Amino acid sequence: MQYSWGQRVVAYLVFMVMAILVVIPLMAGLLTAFKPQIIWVSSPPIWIFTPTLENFEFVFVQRQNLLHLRNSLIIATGSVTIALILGVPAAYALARFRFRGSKGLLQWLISLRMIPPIVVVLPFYVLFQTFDLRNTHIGMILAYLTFLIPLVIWMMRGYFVEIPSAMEECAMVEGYSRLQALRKVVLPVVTPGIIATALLNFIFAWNEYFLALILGGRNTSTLPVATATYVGRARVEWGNLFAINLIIMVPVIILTIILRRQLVKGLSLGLVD
Amino acid sequence: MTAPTEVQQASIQTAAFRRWLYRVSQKYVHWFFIAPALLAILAVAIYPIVYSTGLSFFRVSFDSRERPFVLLENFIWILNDSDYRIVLGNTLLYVLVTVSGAFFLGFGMALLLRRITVGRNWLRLILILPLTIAPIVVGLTWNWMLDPLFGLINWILPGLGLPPQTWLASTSTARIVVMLVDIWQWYPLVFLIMDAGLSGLPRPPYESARLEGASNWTIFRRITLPMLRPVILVVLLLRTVDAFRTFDLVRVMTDGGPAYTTEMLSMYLYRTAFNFNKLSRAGAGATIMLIVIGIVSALMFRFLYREVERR
Amino acid sequence: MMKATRLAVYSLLLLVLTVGFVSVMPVYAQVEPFEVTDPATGARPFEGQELRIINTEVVPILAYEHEVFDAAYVEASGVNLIYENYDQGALLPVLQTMCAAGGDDYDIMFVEDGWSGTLEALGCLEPLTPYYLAAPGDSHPEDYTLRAFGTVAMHNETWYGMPTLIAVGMFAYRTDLFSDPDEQAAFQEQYGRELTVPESWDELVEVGEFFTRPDEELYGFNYRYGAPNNILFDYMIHFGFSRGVDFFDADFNPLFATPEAFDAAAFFTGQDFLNLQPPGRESFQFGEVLQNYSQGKVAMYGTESWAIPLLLDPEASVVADVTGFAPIPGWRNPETGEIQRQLLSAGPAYMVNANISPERKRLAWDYLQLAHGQQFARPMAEQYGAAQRISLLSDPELVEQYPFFPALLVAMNGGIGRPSEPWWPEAENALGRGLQALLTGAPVEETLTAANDEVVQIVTDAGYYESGAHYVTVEEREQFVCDLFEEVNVEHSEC
Repeated sequence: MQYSWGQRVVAYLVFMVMAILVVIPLMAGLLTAFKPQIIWVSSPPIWIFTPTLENFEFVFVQRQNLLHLRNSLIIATGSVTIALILGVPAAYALARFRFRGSKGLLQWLISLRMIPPIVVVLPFYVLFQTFDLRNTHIGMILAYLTFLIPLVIWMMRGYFVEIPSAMEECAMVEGYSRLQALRKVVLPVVTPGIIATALLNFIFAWNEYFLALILGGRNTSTLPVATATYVGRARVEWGNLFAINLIIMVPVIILTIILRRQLVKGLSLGLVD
Repeated sequence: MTAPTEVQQASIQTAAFRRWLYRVSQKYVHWFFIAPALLAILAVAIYPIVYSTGLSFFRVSFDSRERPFVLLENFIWILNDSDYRIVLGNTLLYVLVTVSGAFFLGFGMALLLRRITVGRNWLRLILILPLTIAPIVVGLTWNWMLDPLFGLINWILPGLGLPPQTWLASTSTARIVVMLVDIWQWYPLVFLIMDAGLSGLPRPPYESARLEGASNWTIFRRITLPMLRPVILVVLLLRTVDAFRTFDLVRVMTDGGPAYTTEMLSMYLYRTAFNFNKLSRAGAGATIMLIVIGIVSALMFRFLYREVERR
Repeated sequence: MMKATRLAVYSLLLLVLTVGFVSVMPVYAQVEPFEVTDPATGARPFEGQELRIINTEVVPILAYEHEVFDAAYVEASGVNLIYENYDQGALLPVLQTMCAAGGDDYDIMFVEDGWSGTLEALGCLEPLTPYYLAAPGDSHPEDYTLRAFGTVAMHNETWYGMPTLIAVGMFAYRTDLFSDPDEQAAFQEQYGRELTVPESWDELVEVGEFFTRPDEELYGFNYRYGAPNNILFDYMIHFGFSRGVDFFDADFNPLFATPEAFDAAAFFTGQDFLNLQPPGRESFQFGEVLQNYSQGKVAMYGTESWAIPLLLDPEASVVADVTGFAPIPGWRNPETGEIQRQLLSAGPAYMVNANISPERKRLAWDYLQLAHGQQFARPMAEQYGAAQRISLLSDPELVEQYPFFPALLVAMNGGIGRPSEPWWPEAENALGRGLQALLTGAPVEETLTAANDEVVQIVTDAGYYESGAHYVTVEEREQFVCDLFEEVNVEHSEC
């Protein structure tokens, strides 16, 4: 499309403004992570100071948040991986095979995402107690699957629908079984979609707070749960809080940077649903 | 031909059996694909869902170990509670404003991105950042920014000639501010998806429209919008469902105050269950909430599928 | 007498004696005497075992306690402490969920005084009396004031926990401002009297007015209005109680629609009073008011005792070395001219989970008697100025180091506990929101009467009026504590 020079300038300006609106709060907050306690909050805000790592030391050593980091990593990657393994074939089936109840099943699966976590917390707890799953990673992963699998199925189905079934049929004519056709022909095409799905689900699992709070234990407390402990009744420990925030944000941002091309490509693939 | 021997007869029967098995498995092959996922969900989700729906029909609370059956008592109480109505109204308003705000802003930014040639990827990256941050963190960061005495915003305002505001303290501004922060966090999602949608649009219709001398606006209205319809509906559905469940962000910023102006449904349910100890009342409230969301999303779903069939 | 009759009489006598004896025996299960850890003798009967605690470090004192008490206990006993820290808002749901499901994931639980009602109803709290009787150790429950112990460590008549922290209201003020000669002169000129730390409400307003200078970013004082329970507490602690307001009367009728209540509420939420506080006050909760004071923005501040170490810590407060403490201003009775003072006291205790095994319960008691016992409390007081035991608050050496200790002891002796019924949070919410509505200009009498009626409805729904439940007054609570002390054979000066 043709755009006038004026339109381009306006566009750049708007983007600059929006970018500033994004960057300033984040940077200002994160600077606080390096401030000593006495200037966590000050009026007027202090920008020049000698940075210190004491907040990080407090957070990792005294409060043992390294443990929380480990738990977050295990639970997030574990649940996303299993959600993909279970959800991709299911999405394929729902995309390719028109059987009775396929639409109803799809709608039911997606409606699972609408459940407010508060109400499922007690039954989950009882379930965990019965099967001795409390304080285990596998328990948390199972709990997260309830919310992740529907999203995986929904998104992946959209991608599979985009791809003409002629592709597998060609392969099957050549002698491949359906599974082999799926693996060798379809999956490579749909890989950006898988990556996009995985990233969005990872963000959800990584940032999830409520279920991790109630169902977690010493071995399974995740980073968001740890973050909340710095909101004390007496005062918010801003420096420690932003130190942990930094830790929470960094992996997701790095992943997003690495995967940005696939993310965009993946999302543009499966938007017809 | 001689009559088949016993061994031959046996192998014929096995072959027939194997053929039958193949035919059956082909017919029901889809279930093999779906079964693992379905089993996992059934195992983990069914019991909690049944339990929590059933919860609404009993009187379960954290006050006692008795759980008497009271058919509709919880529903009647909740529907009569003026607080519940206020909260429902707050939530609907919140969903309406934040979803449409995020939508128009995100869509607008995606369209504007078309006009930029240099540095597209970097801009995309920066703009996506709020999406990747935990809602708790977003809420706390903005709390800090908006603090009346120590916040950055009130420090900048005098420089612009405006008086410092008590953003989260007054009934008129608290709501608006919280909704703005929500939009700040989620418009990048709309931006990302719409941007991807726009990149995926085919060229030919645009070229022929150009040849016919159509204006930018006509092209947008007649070509871009209709092609993007499915995408738009997906994005709206996704955001609507999530906006209904907003909890972390608002709770950490205002905790429902001042005077219940920012109290959301999920916070109200949390309070009822864990602060007031009335677990089954919360269950009834949640069931009603599910029905409302269900209706809204079923309508959107219908619309969405109708479009696809037509294509 | 005939043989048969004699037999009948004797068996009847035996029956009566047995019944009488059984009804007099303590209601708890008996616990056999057992050995507890004792640093003096070096006894370590629980060495190598694990103890699981669920806790919150929502205020720094709790973190200090963890440092001092738990470290000392681990060294003395050889027990392995497994410690889980939650934020305070999340701790109650976790406890409620666990108790409702009969879980035994933790041995020791951090329980705020307001939570003991619901946890007791869920059958989660283990009475401590049998354990004390079996092995008193270093616990010395008589070393707490009656009111404090009754509110924090007991729920009505049963002893469930050892106090970890007793929160009473205290008044913090800027010694530099009050002792500055220029300020004193200016005040004398403007108000015709000497500049002193306010003791009554009128003095509070005068001094507050004097120190409210928005251009210098200094304000008179700072109270909490931001959340229903915050505003209710500040209202009660600082104004309601001293004016003669109380939560309930003996029959659980709420007392928020009385003339005294209206008077105190109008004062507390009046525009004149609000104007002496920093902007944004309507949304302030605990954290913001502490932050405002410790950054030097207010001259005076109604605080709670657990915040004191924070206010005195030079790394956390820019006004650490110019902060003094005094009793909270009270209401001057116009007829007698006396100043009435009455406070709220509250606080958490460590309680034992009733769902764990008997051996673990003994281990839990061992922790409570020593880690929260008398000898370890002293280093805590010396290092951080945090003390709740009578012996420490009246120790001459410590008083010299921390001059506010006597005021704190007076406050602890005068504190009224808040209700700990399971439905209390709902009532508290209704009352708090009523008060918050006053900030936006709603009429005092109507709003508070409506809130009062809501509480009546809540109490009715809970069936309390029907069953004729009785609200434990503060004197009765003292009596409960005295009865307990009598049962366990300790002496207390106030009984």
